[in-house]
Parts: sequence; C-alpha cells; structure tokens
Amino acid sequence: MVSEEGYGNPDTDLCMNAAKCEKLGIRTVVISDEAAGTDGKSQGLADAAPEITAFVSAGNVNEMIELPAMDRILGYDSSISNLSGGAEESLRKDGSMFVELQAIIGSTNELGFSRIGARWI
Amino acid sequence: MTRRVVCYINQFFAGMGGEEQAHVPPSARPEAVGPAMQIQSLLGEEAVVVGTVICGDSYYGEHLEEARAECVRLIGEFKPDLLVAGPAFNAGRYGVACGDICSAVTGTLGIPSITGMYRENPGVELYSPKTFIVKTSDSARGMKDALGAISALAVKILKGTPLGAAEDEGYFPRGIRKNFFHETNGAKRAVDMLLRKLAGKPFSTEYEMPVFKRIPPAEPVKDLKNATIALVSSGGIVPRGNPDHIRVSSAESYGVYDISRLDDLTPENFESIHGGYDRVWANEDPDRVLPLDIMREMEREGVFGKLYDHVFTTTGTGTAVAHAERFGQEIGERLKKDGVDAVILTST
Repeated sequence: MVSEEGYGNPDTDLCMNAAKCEKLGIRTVVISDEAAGTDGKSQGLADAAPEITAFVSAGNVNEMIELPAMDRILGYDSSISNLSGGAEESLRKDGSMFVELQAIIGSTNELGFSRIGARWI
Repeated sequence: MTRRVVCYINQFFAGMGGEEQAHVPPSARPEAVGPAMQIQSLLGEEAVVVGTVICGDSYYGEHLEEARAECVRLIGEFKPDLLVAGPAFNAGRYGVACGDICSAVTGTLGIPSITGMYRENPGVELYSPKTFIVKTSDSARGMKDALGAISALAVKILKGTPLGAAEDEGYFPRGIRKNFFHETNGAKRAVDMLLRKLAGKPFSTEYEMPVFKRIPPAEPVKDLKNATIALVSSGGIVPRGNPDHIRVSSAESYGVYDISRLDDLTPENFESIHGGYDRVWANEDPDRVLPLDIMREMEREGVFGKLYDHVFTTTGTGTAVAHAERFGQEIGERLKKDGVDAVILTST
C-alpha cells in the first residue's frame, strides 16, 4: 500500500512510486486525499499514472464545512486565517467558522483512518 | 405549495408520427402528454405536470439556436420548478436535444432538470456535467424502469432531500467530487481492494486517473543578452500585509506587484504567506524564494536584457488544478502581450 502526505510534489512521488511498483509486478493500492477544489470539479491529484488502477479516497480536502462557535477555545481562533483551509473571512463575529475540511488536522488521514471519502456526484 | 413540473418530449412520443414528422417546430400543451402521463402517475401527490413541450428531433438538431430559445421560452411560461426531458434511451438526436434543452433551462431559468439516456448516447458525454442524466437501457422497452428512476430522483430534488453519490442515485456522474461517509474506513477499504486485485477479482477504484493534456515546451531562448525575463512564483511571496488577501492554501487568486523600483526583497517590504512550508527563513529574506536581488545583479551585469517590471505570485499548495490552469493562461497572455521572452518560475 502506498500513501503520502502533502499535495503537489508529494503527489508526483506517490504516482512514481506506485507506477514503479506496478511495472515490477508488485500489485498496488493507493490511499490518498484529493484536492478537488471547493467546487469539487478539479482533478484531485496534481499528477497521475495510468498504472494506478486501485485508489481509495480519503476525501476532498477543499470541501467547505461549518464549525459552530465553541464555549471554550484553546489558543487563538483568529489564527484560522493562517492555516491551510482557512482564510481571513473564515472566522465570523459569532465565533463560528466556515472553512475547508483540511483546516481540521487529520480529517483526511492518509492512512485511511477515517470513513470519509470523495465520490462522484 | 404545488411543485410544478414540465416535460419535454419529441414528436414520436407525442403521438405525432415517426421520422416523417421529425421536422415539426416547438409547441406546448398545458397538460401531460405521452410518457409525461406516466411521470405524473409516479409523482403522485408530490408534484403536478403542468405542461409538455414538444419538438421534432430533426428540427431541434437543424435549428439549434432557434429551437433552444423557443423551447426555453415555452417551458418558462409554465413557471416550472423542474424540467424532465425524454427519456431518450439510445436515440442520438433525441438525446442531444434532451441534453441541450436541460442544460439551457438549468442555465437560463435556474431550475433543475433531469433526463434519461443509455450510456452510449452521444448526449451523455456532451451534457452529463450540466444536468442529471439518469442511466437507462438502450430502448423504450426499458421505459418503465427509466421513468421510475427519473421520478424518484425528481421527487428528491423537488423536496430538497440530500442526494447520495451518482452511482447510488442512478445517474451519470457530473464530474464533481463530494465527501461521504462510507460504512468502513479507508484502511479497510484499501485492504479489501488490494486482496481483490491480488486474486484477480473485479474491483471498483474510488478515483479513475485523469488523462493530462500534453503541452509541448517552448523553444529555448536564443538571445539571452537581449531577453526580457519575468519572475513568477508559487512560493507565496507577497507585499507585507498581503494586500490582496491571497489564501495561504488552495489559492483562488494571484497577485501582480510592481517591482520596477525595487532591488531587493526584505522583511520590511515583503513576506511569505505560503501555508505549505515553514516560513521562518523566507520571512528573514524573501529573496530566498523570489530571487529579486540576484536578478537585479545579473541585469546590471548584462547577463540578460531586462527584468519585467511586475512579479506574479500565488501560493502553490493544495491549489485546485482548474485555478492553476487559469492563472497560467492569464499570466502567460499578459507576459506575451508585453514582449516577455522567458519566465523564471520559483516554487517550493
């Protein structure tokens, strides 16, 4: 099983590793999250290899989610503007947040720890 | 509050005749006609078929703009909440007409639309991203099942019931990825898939590999001494304060900044906002990612002709490919227009 953490460059490593294994006759399955865009219309990996015939999705990291305001905050909620998946407009006045799924670390765990996955609609 | 449905059918299903009547122009009747009657029966109390618009398949195909416009107008007059077209099964002209009218109605009237086709109908590839095309068999012998699937989907859409994956709802995917929770986690699904692959059993991949366009690279620069070179970066180097609010990840925009009066990037004038690497060293000296200082040195020494007076910058982590492609095309057009010969693209 081949997995990776990250986007761009790691996607290329992932595809090269899986393709090399397949060409050596080592059957491979890939587990990876996808960066399919907030509208879900972009290709999820920055690279591709036709040898990757078995792919398990750990979810689209760009899908927007609602986080309700919390009673207690550990740290600084304004930091969301600097985190991947957040932006300046993420934190609302009432303390709720509208962010990408990837703002929650581990939500699209690349080892397939979670049940979430992207499917075609 | 009655939910209003309009149906679109061709001359044959309207009982007007076969191929010899395929040239009839668009018309409308304020009632369910042909298969629309069965659709009304399947919709039950949930919605009313308030009208049927009819057009000959040849007429639509040979007068595309006029037929589309007139049919959209006739459909709009019924003030529908949903359009159902066909189903067209494997009939090519009918499939293209159904796909086209659904796409036009959804696009201009802003209401959802559903049709039905067999997988080999040319309408599927052309229109599946623009409407809901329910999967049907290849002929009208499958009408009962097709109308059942179409009506079930129609009721869900009209009621605003959240839809499952395309495969579960029975329509051709529209090219959009959506997150769902599976019964089992990714690790288990991966092991199951691998065991099936090893045993030579059929399995369903959760994502088919995209096929990329092959873009031939440009020719090398012949006359470097007189060349105009531009700096473009996906390293997230922006003027201090990030005035254009470029996102730290999944950027949907890029910035264009005048560096004509600058020789050097420093923490006073620029910073890194990239969400994919530790920014400490880039913030100590932004030239490390966007090498303005070295470019100025080489410009003075005459290694190349001129440094273009603007830099283009965005953050290249988690950037959706569709956005990245658009940035490249827009920036490229501008650079070409301004006579730039080469680009140094710095990434991280």
